[in-house]
Amino acid sequence: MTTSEYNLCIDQHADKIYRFILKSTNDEELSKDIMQDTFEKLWVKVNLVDFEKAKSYLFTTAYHSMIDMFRKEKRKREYENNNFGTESHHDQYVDLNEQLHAAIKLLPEIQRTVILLRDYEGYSYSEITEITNLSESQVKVYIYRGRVFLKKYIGSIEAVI
Amino acid sequence: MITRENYEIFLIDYIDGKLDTVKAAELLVFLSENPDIEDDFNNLERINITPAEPGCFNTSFLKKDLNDVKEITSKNYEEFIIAKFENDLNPDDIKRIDEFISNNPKYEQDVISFKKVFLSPDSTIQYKDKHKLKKSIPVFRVYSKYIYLAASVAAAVLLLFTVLKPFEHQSAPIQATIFSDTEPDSENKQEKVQTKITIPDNPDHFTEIQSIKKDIPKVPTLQEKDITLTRQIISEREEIPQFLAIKTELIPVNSADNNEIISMLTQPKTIGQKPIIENRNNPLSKINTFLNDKNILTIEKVDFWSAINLGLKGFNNLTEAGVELKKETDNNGMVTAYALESENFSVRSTSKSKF
Repeated sequence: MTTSEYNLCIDQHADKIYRFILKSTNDEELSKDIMQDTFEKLWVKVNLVDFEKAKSYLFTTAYHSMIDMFRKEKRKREYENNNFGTESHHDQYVDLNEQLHAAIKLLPEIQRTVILLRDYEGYSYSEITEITNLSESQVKVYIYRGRVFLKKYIGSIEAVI
Repeated sequence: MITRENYEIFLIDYIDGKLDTVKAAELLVFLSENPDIEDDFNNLERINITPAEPGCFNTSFLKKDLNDVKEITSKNYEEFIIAKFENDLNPDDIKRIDEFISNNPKYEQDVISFKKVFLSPDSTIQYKDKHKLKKSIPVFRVYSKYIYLAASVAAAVLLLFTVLKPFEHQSAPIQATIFSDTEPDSENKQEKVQTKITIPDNPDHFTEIQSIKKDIPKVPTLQEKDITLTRQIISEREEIPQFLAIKTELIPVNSADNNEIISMLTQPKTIGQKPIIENRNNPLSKINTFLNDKNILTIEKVDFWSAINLGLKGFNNLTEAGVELKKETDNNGMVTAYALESENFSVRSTSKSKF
């Protein structure tokens, strides 16, 4: 990949990667750190990564950087303790997409990741398998569980409204 | 020594057959002295687990594929609905789940709900610091090796011209003969002088001067005079302005009979050079005028030193190498050595090797 193609990757994928990370972490600063880390890693391997495969490389790197950051900073547990258990959501979101994005925060990390990759970027099961190092069966199971949770969440909101 | 605190280690090794005969005998003595442990040992010895034969445990029933599910029920219909929206069902299974829903209208709401739980990207979220991630495209990134190659060639050529060429002409002793074919003019004390300068190492290379007026009080007609040439860099002469001295090199000539200093500027491979007409806008013309005023013979010169320094300046601008060309002179002004120097290397060529 040339420097021009690298810069083109930023134009084409930076928003998507950032969206994926931000929705996964719900932490703006952490997301920016991961963005820097992800694209620095791509730049280091700019001569080895084909432009056509850059998007997959970026999502894979971002995902693993995110996991590493979670582990290093233990933010995942803190975040779950501080937010997931206490958030009151039933009367905050009216728009369905907003409701879903609120609900996605409540999903376990891995379910959230696979659903975001599936819905945001339309990745196939096999592509999600490559990014997350999960088996295809695991990906299907996590997507299924995530969908069921979201469906129940939406149903509960609709019942309240 | 086997004690109640460490006997387990010896027991396990005994069961595994790893205990030597001495220790085994010691263990048996220990067990006979401790009947409660002996009972445990006897029970432990009877437990012998053997690995199952490969393939005896059928795992296939654990695997699950919706296509293999024979019947859609109230317990698995959600999987089919989700799989349908995920485009993960074959046409037959799509038909099956549709029939199941139509036969069970109470599940229609679930279909509607599942249809809603597919996210769409939040386009309002954008990464605003893209410019910080971008890398500048280096101008010479692709072509840098060619530039350095060209610069290297240029440097090599400069080196050859600088170190070798000047010594070819200057390192050898110069002999000059001045011929005079006219009577001295008693009034203006001028005569036409023909001068021929040859280099012993290269007889074909000479400089000849014709029809140059010279103010000499007493010069025998057609008398061949031996003169000795010494070199002096014009820039080293205080009376010559530095800006004029850049492009010329002055060779003082000592006349044999009256010891008058005759100075001239050399121009290799120039024959019959005409005297330069003064042009106030031409610095070289100014210096010729200045030299003529002091009874100095002048010849226009091709200055390797300036040309090479100009080339080096361009080379340094390209490569930022900081290469300098220096020359050393002896007390008589003769160049004794040239050196091409930078921070990383130094190439020096001396004239002594020529003699």
